[in-house]
Order: sequence, then structure tokens, then C-alpha cells
Amino acid sequence: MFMNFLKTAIRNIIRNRVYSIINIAGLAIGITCTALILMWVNDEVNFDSFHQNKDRIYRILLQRKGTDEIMAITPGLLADAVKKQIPEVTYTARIIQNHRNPYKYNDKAFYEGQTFCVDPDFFKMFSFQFLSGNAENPLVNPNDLVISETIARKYFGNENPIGKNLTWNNRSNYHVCAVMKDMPVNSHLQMQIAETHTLAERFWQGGYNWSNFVHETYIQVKENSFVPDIEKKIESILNQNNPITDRFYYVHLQPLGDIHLDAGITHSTALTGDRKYVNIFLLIGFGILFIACINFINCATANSMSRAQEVGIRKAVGAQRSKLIMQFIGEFALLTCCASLLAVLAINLIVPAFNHFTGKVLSLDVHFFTFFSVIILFTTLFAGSYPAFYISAFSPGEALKNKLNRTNKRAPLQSALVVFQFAISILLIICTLIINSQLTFMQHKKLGFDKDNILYFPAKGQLAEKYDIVKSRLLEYPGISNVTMQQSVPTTTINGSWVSWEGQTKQDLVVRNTEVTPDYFATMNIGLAEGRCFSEEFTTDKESAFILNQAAVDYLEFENPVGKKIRTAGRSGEIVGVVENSHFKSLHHTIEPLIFMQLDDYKSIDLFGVVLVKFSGQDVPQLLDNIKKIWQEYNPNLPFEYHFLDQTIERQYGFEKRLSAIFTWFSVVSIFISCLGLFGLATFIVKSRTKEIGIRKVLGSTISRIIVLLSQRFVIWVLFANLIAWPAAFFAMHKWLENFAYRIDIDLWVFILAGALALMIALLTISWQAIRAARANPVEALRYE
Amino acid sequence: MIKLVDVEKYYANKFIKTWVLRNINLTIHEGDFVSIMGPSGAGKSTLLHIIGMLDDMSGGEYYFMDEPVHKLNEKKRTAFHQQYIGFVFQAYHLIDELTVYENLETPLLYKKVKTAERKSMIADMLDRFNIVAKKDLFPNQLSGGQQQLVAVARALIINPKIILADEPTGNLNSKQGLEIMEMLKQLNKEGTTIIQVTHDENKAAFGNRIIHLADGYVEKEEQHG
Ligand SMILES: Nc1ncnc2c1ncn2[C@@H]1O[C@H](COP(=O)(O)OP(=O)(O)OP(=O)(O)O)[C@@H](O)[C@H]1O
Ligand SMILES: [Mg+2]
Repeated sequence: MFMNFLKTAIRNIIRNRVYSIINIAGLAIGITCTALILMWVNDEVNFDSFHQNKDRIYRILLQRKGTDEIMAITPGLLADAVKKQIPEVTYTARIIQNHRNPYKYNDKAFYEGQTFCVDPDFFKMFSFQFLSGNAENPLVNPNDLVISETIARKYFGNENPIGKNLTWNNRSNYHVCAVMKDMPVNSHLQMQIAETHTLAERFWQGGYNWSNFVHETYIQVKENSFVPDIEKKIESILNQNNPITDRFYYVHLQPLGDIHLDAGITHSTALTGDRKYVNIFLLIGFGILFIACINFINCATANSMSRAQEVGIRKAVGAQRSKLIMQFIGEFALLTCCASLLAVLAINLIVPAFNHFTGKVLSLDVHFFTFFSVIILFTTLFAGSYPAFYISAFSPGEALKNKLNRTNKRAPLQSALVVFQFAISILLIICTLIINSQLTFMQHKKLGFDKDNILYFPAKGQLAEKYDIVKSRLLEYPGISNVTMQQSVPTTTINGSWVSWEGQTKQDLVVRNTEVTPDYFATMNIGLAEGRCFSEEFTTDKESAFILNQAAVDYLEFENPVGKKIRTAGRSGEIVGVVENSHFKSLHHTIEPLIFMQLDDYKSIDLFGVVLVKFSGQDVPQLLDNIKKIWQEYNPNLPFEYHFLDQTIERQYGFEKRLSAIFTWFSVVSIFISCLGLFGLATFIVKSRTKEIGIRKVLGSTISRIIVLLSQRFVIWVLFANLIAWPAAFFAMHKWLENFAYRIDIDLWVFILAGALALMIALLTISWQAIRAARANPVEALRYE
Repeated sequence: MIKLVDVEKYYANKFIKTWVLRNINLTIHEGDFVSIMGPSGAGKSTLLHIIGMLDDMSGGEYYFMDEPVHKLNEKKRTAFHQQYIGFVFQAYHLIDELTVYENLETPLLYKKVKTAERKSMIADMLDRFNIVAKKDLFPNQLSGGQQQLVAVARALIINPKIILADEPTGNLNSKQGLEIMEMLKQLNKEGTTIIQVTHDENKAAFGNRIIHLADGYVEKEEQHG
């Protein structure tokens, strides 16, 4: 019996070559996409699952009463108090990320960004593996460092790193006590270097109290602990010790497994994705598979007429319907298997590029094949069952009667499915277009400052201390027009302080501030709205002059700000000027109120300050060389590192850029698969109308009228698809654009363009068949029937 | 064995009903050899399909071996197909994707006949119809007459109690046609009930009853010895 089925199946596949190739190709593409997406999703949702204690580890999140913001930072003293006072808590570990700074071993020196201070419990809670050194008890001494194997290789090559010294920022000496394996890419923690808190605590006592929120705190609880209880207990410890009594914080314990996908937690250093996008991609993945399945269903039902006779005969000689259903599902399974084979080959080829693009290390492992089998099963059952039931339902009397009136019978559902298929494609095209225009909009929006032709490098050591000389020496180079120094990279303000001001009508407010040298505004080309900029002529500017941006003026509700008294960040004085707003943060965010103060103590910014250089753009290599020479003169022991400001800003939209690429791919794939299906369908429809076309031509119809006749149905389908896709796309994109404080309007032309595009592609696809049929010799056509 | 009571069949279009069979009352006993005759379009094939349970009727009652077919479910009908009914179609209707051998094998597969037995039954049939040389050919590699032979062979292979044959000799030369008729006659003598549709008076005369159909009505019936 099985052989009988198999033979029929294989001979049918070969006989209907076009149909088989379309189905197999479409399915293979669909399966490939879906499998890749599932692999990615699987990786995303299984972040951090390699930790042995994963079900007992939580991160403490705080939410100030009366605000929506949920933040990952806690006071530095909370962890210890929690461990001492709550018996259910076995371990607590605080982490804090260090600013990007250089490390040095002999003549090898590099800037490192993924460096953290951690508590000793850290390595007891988390299951990061050690390769050498003191794995049992790392970080016992204040100067101990745990480094990753990448760092070990980078600094020590083939030497044994254990016990070696690493100099940090040209001043502190650490020694390596253990080497850990690189943290897995599916870890929300991505540390290259870990040190204790001890040294940082000595440098910066202010950070370790109850009022400064800078640490992320993890806790591990005993098995079967009741988490809400612990939350309550932490909440009471925190709020009892909180020195500002009118502020209450709610405590949330975030399970380790949720950290990666909980988007929107502020002040988190975790590598975060977004559950929303995971769901969207999952939906798209299945959407594409669905599109491929629709091809399958449509081709199978359209082709079913050629199987009707067989069904009739098999029934007449005693086949039960269940047997026939099994036969057809089996046949589809055969096609799906062919497609799967192709898909595995394709995935194998694509995975390296896919990994590169997504930053993951996915491979065709056991997980993959489990998913893969599920996909295949799903596809077979989903795509195979409807046609199987449909075809096997033919009444033998009907099926065996005459061939003529069978071929014209339209398979039900066909139009609905094609409409749906195209609706998905159009939806994706619209999304792609809108994501792209938002991206272009963000890349070209006037930011309120010049991002081009500005580079910056760290203001470190001697170079910062002797900034005034350095500046004049830099300005001697012809390519350099302005030089300034700022407390931090312009795109990240690091300080926020309480402000009290003259004419204050509400409570004190926190406003972010930054320290700059007087030529900052000229260098960045930020426009002055009122008053004046900082100036060397006013020696008092250093302690007591403030410049606000307009957002700050609005926030503090100043009428005539210039000359008003203000106090913040340990300084008091008056507002000397107001500058135009600038988008230092990405356009996701509204412009934040910002207070500029003049940089007073050049040494104080050693850890995170930058020197910004405006250059002409000619002969950049020479320019960089010149700057490097000066750097080496002043900081011979520190490596030189520079960045271009426009690239830093561009990086803020990395996610959107990738999203746009992903959507472009998805649309192309979905359109392609839909067209494959349309082509197949057109082939069948044209074939079934060959006789009609022949007769019409004999009766004098022109070729163009016949092409119109044949295309009509498809045009209507695509138009209907637009009707579904437009509102869906509008709704989805409207929601998406809400992620951005500054966004484009959704224009009608995008929809029309997408619709027209889909229509054009659809018409192109079917035209080949239509034209061929229309131009065929009518006598041939009639004889054929 | 077969009893039709007031059987009727029509095709309902959007606006009109096309009557194909009306008021068919017919009793066929075990061992009968019935020939159905009538002009083209009279409804002969339709009647045969209904008797063969391949088509539903629009009204009336049909008893097959005292079972009310009009009330039977599909499973039961399938069982009848497997056990009792051999059908020869007017348009032969072989499965295009299967060879002659495989076409003959199909009914046996559904009947779950064991492999060894199956092989001998097929060999027997091929032999009987003189088509051993053609067994690995596909239907489209055969002439119309050869296809018809295969179709008849397929109907006989399950040793049916009743053979329904729609112009089984339409495409055969007169010698082959007569041979087939003789074969049917022989089977009839051994107890198989046979209903055939034919345009040919001579071939109709092989039967003991001739039923004339016209416009869907039974016009007249002749009885032979
Ligand atoms: N699907 C249908 N819709 C409407 N009428 C139909 C349909 N199928 C068959 N008929 C009609 O039923 C009538 C009987 O058809 P049938 O095939 O039984 O004729 P027949 O007696 O076997 O003729 P022939 O000798 O040519 O084989 C015909 O007039 C045909 O037009
Ligand atoms: Mg007929």
C-alpha cells in the first residue's frame, strides 16, 4: 500500500514539475526563514539559562512612588543590609560599570569598556566558568582582578596571566587572580574585567551610602522562598534607611530569566533585548511560513482537478476516505521533506552571516532539529490537511464523469488565501517603508549642533591638566578650527543634581548638568538664544556662571532667565545665558533640560572627560597623526583612542538600522514566495481556460482584451489585500512610532506606493502566463482540449 | 439483490433542475445478466453509477443485498466496493501514474490481500487478458482497447459478486469484444450478477434482461430466456 502511494506521489511530483518546484522552493524559503527566526527567538528567551541557580537569582528594581520609571539602580548599602537582615537571602552582589579607561601590561595598553566592580558573592551566585587561578575564592584582595580569556590573550598572549600586574589608567595596579571563560553571548552580563568594590569605595566614598543610587544589586534566595515577602522586606529596609523621608520606593524582584527581555528598565547595564520584538519576529516568522503554506494549499487545490479522477477510481475500487486523506497528507509530507532538506542546506549556508548580523552563536544543534521537526510537522499538517480533505471529498460519480466541466470549477478559499498572502506582503512593505523613512528622518534631522567633523578623545592625565597649552598647540594645525573640553561625551550627561532657583514656585527639581570650557558652544555650533556664553574675561564664570538650554528654562519656568540666581551641583551664581536646544540624546527621547557650567578643575574629569576637536575634514589621517603626536607627548604611557561624534550618534540608531534591514528582507522574502504561488496559480488558471481563450480568439477578441480578462481576478485580489493591509499597517506603525519623541507623520503615499508595488509585482508575475496564453494559436488551444 | 424504488436524479442549477433519472423502479436478482440500452444522454451511465454507489441519488430508495444504500454511511459503501462490486467505466479510468500491474494491484491493496496471493491473482488476470507484456506500461502508453482490457481486468480481480460495466467493449474490436462478452457470460453462469450498458443489440442479447432507458425513464424491458 505504502509503495503504491509512494509511487503515485513521486510520479505526480515529476509530472507536475512546475507545481512541485514552486511548492518546494516556496516552502524551503519559508521554512528557512521560520527556522532562523525560531533559533533566534529560542536564544533570546533562553538568555541566562546556563546559570545553575537561575531560578533563585533576582535583580532588585526600584520604582519611586508616583513615577512610572523602573530603575535597576539601588543605594550602595542596600545589598549588605538585605543579606544581613533577611534570612531567605543567601547571597547579594552589587555591580557597577566602570567608565571606559585604559589598562596596561608592559607595552600593551587598550581601553576597556566592559569592566565592572563586583562583590565576592557574585561568582558564587552566577555560574561563570573559570579557566585558571583562584576559582574558589576570587577577588579576596582589594587589587584582585578577574579577567576573561579574551583579555588574557590580548594582554598576556601565551604567558600565564595569573599573578601578573595590570595598570589601570596609569595609576592603580591590579593583579590578575583568575581567568574566566568569556561570558556566553546569551548572558545579560557581559564582563571582560571584574574587580572588587574596595578601591572604588576608597576613591569615591559618596557612592556608598543610602542616598546615591548607582549600583545594580542581585540577590539569591533560598529555595521555595516566597518572593513577594522578600520584596516587602527589602522595601522596608530601603525606605527606613532612605534619608529623604518624603520619597518612597517600591521594590520589584526581577527574575534572572526576565532581565534580558524586560525592555525599558532604566539605568540597567544588562544586555537587553525586547520581548515585544521577539513576539513580532515570531509572528513574522510564522507569517512567512503561512504564506508558503498558502502556496501549497492553493496549488494543491487548483491542481486537485488532475487528481479527481484518481480519487474517483480509488474510491470505486474500495478506498476509504481516511486512506485517501492519509495518502495525500503523506504526499505533502514528501514535498515538505524535500523542502526541508533544501532548507537545512540553506540554513547551514546562512547561519554564519546570520550570526554575524545578530551577534549570536547559533548552530544546527539538537535544539535546532527539534524546532525543525516541529516546523515540518506543523507545515505538513497545516498545509496538507485542507487539500487532503478537499480532494478526498470528491464524489466518485462527479469526479469521473467528464473532464470539461471539472477544470473550470474554482477551488474555494483560493481567493481568500491569496488576498491574505498579499495583505501580509503589503503590510511588510509598508512597515519597511515607514521604518526607513523614520530612520532617514532621524539621520538627517537638525540636531541643534554640528555632529559632523567633530572628533573626541579622552581628556586624560597630563593632557587634561595642561589643557590650555594643548589647546593652543592643537589650534596651530591648519585643519583644526576649534577645541573644547567637556566633562563627558556630549551624548551622555553623567550628572543630575537638585536645583533651587530665584522665583521658584515649585519644589526643588533634579536637572542634569555638564561642565564645559568656554569655547564649547562655538565648537559645537550651538546657538545662543539670550545673554552670553562663558568667557575667559569673566574670571568669576568658573564658579558662578550658569547657561541653561531652553528646555531647562521651560522646565524651571523662568520668565526672564538671564541674571536670575540659581544654585545646583554645589555651585551658586547666576544665569548668564540661554542656548538653543540640542538633541544630544537619540530622537527616541525628548530634549532634556540641561545646565552648563564652566569646567573648573581640569583634573576632576580624568575618568570620563573628553576633548572635542572641530576639524575641516581635509586630510584626516594627517590630522589624527598630529593629535596622536601631542597625545603621546603628554601621555606617553596611555594608548590613544578617538571617536567621531557623528558615528557615535549614528550608533544610537543601530537597532533601528538593523530593524530596517530585517524588515526589508522579510518583505522581499514574503513577496517572492507570494509571487511564486501566484505564478503557479496563474499557470493553472490559464491552463484551465485555454479552451475558452481559444474560442474567444476565434470569435475575434484581441490579445490585450484576453490579457485583461486573465489579469482581472488578480488585480481584484491585490486590491482587496490592500484593504486589509492598510489599516493593520497604520495601526502597527502608529504604535511603533510612539517609541520616538521625534517622528515622521504617516503619509498616504507610503500606502499607495506599497499597494502599487505589490500590484505591479503581481501583474509582472502573471503576465508571462497571460501573454503566452493570449498569443497562443487558438487552433492549438482547442485541439489541446 | 438490487432493488430501486422510485429512484430519481437531477442536477440543480441556479435556476433549473435538470432531470436525468425519474421514477426508476427496478429489481435485479442474484444471477441476472442485465443489459441497459438507450440513446446517448438517456442516463445510462448515471444509473450505473448510482447502482455502483458512486453517485448519490436525489430521491427514492435503493436496497443492495437488503441494506438501504440511501441510508448507509461512506464506510459501509466502501466495504461494498471492496467486497462485492466490480466497476468498468465507460472512459476506462485507469490511474495515470500507475502501471498496468499497479492499477490491477490497487483494489487488492485496499482489500488487504496478502502479497503472495496478490501476485498470483494479478498474474492470473494478466494472463487471462493476454496483457502480460504490457504490465509495466503506463495507461497513456496503451491503446484505447488495451486500456479497456485493463479496466475490465481490474473490475474482475476482486472476484466481485456483481459487475457493473459501462460499455465494456466500446473500444475493442469485435473479436476482443466477443471474447469479453463470453467471459462475462461465463462469470454469470458461475453466479456473478452482471449489469452492462451497451449500444450494441448483439451484445445486449448476451443478457437475460434488456432495459431500455430514454430521457431518464425506463421505457420498456425485455426478458430473454
Ligand atoms: N453535472 C451535471 N449537470 C447537469 N447535467 C448533467 C450533469 N452530468 C450529467 N448530466 C446530464 O445527465 C444526462 C445523462 O448523462 P449520462 O452520462 O448518464 O448519459 P448516458 O446515457 O450514459 O449517455 P452516453 O451514451 O453518451 O454515455 C445527460 O443528459 C447529461 O447532460
Ligand atoms: Mg454513458
